[in-house]
Amino acid sequence: MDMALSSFFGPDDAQALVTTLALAGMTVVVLMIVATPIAWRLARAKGRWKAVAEALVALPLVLPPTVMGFYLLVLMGPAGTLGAWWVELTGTTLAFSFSGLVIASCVHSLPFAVQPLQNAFEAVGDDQLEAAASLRASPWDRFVSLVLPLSIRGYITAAVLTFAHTLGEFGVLLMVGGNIPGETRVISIAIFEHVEVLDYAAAHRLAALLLAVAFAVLLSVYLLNARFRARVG
Amino acid sequence: MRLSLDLSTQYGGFTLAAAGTFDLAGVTALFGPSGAGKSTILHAIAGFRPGLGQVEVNGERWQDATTMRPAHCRPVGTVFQTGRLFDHLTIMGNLRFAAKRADRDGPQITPDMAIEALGIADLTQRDPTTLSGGERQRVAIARALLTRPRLLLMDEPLGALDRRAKAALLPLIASLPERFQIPVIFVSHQLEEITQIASRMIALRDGRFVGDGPLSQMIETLDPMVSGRFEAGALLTGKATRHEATYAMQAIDLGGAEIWMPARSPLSPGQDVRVRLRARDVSVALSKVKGISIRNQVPVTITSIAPEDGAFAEITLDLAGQTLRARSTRLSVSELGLEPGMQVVALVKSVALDRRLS
Repeated sequence: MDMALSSFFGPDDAQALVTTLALAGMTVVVLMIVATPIAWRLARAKGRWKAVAEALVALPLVLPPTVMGFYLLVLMGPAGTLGAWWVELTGTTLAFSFSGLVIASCVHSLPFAVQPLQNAFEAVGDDQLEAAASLRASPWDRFVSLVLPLSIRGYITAAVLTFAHTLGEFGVLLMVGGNIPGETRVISIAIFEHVEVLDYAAAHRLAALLLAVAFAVLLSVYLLNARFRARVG
Repeated sequence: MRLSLDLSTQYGGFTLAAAGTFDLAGVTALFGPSGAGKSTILHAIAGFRPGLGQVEVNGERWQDATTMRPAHCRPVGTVFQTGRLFDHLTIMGNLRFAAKRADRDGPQITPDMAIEALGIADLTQRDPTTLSGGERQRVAIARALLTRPRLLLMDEPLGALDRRAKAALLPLIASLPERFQIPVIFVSHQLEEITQIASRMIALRDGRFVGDGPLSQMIETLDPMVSGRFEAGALLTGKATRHEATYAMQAIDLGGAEIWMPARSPLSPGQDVRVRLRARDVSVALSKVKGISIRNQVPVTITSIAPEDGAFAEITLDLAGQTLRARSTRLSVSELGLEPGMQVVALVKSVALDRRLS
């Protein structure tokens, strides 16, 4: 696999591809875990604080990636709260590392994970939860045995969107991760580099790959939604 | 089982201030017009309304101002009006959901027993979305029973069903307390349903308990304002006698008199029956009336006359120890010179057969 990738894309780009996939995969795993309680809380919340929380979660959708990246860099630098704590804990710096990249990517993709989950959780009505409680299911039990199975589609949508969105990240990753081969150099940054040195052929190969993957991913989400809508509605 | 409630809340224009202690056995109807607070009370017992006041069962405090036993820790089963089955599971999946979490110390009810009692053996592999309303409620009842509850709550379980499905389910619900040794609280605003299955009634109006007791006694004393303007009436017990196949009429001996009612198929002679006479279907005459289509003319004694607000009065009548109620205008009462103690004739326009006593 690695050999094949290397011969087609060149060793540097193959490495960027692997880094990108690893980053997207990690981001999906971490975000599914982190976004679940946030989405659950938002789905059950009422009142004015709900709007504030929703706006905060949606912020990465509208904020310029460089702004988000800048704040994250400040936070993760050795002088930043998170960065200093990380140095103490692991002895390495968070900024310009793969771990830092995962954190930045999670923050940046948060709305893509939270919103589909929140929609799925809201679709599980209080009626159903009450019925489960009347059948002696504890709150945790209700979540695991009722909410999760009913929200599978939301999880698939959230995972796919998060994955696709991470593939396409550029600004935040460049700010936080720089461009270290094998560590923080991802496809989108590799493309930028190729274009800068006018290596259009290499840029074309990577760009076409991203285009195809992004389209396939979105298509699968919409197909899934169309197929299930008939059954659920 | 002893249920003690002291509930109060206020929302919109509605005030709930319901306090009382009730002995539960058999089917107890929680009756009142729509919006009286029946469902709210039932949900408080089930554990869905924290902060609503005090709920105590057999001396165990389930909730009050400071404590709250959560719904999943209460030994009650709840059947909701719309069933609330889990559509992502099969019928068997729904039943297993309950059986897996059943109270070990509760009555020993197995899936086989519940499936048999509710007659749903043919449905177990189906999806809930493919069931009729009546079938869904059967499954919902079986599912609630499988939690092995010590009290079964039913929140207008027949409200969304058609007449036929209702008729099929009523005797089934009536048989549950004896079959599984569980008292049932049955919420309904339909007197017709209640008279067929309940042995006791708790009446509710505008968020307050306005009475409770054995069903027959409650039906007799029900304030027409509670039961709906024209729903006051009386339950009488009698024995079936002759049946006239030609006219499809059945005679019933009420002790002091015989009355006739329409019945296509004969009741077995000597069988105990319960009939319901609505006050608005009973008129009073000073003597037997000839040349009138009303066949049932029963000699009775006036026990009391209660004028109501407006034009009407309610006349209580005694028929060989059983009580009837007639509704009349105050003008008629005055013109006929009706007074307690008078011997008069009750003209009964129509009679409805209630549950056949076994």
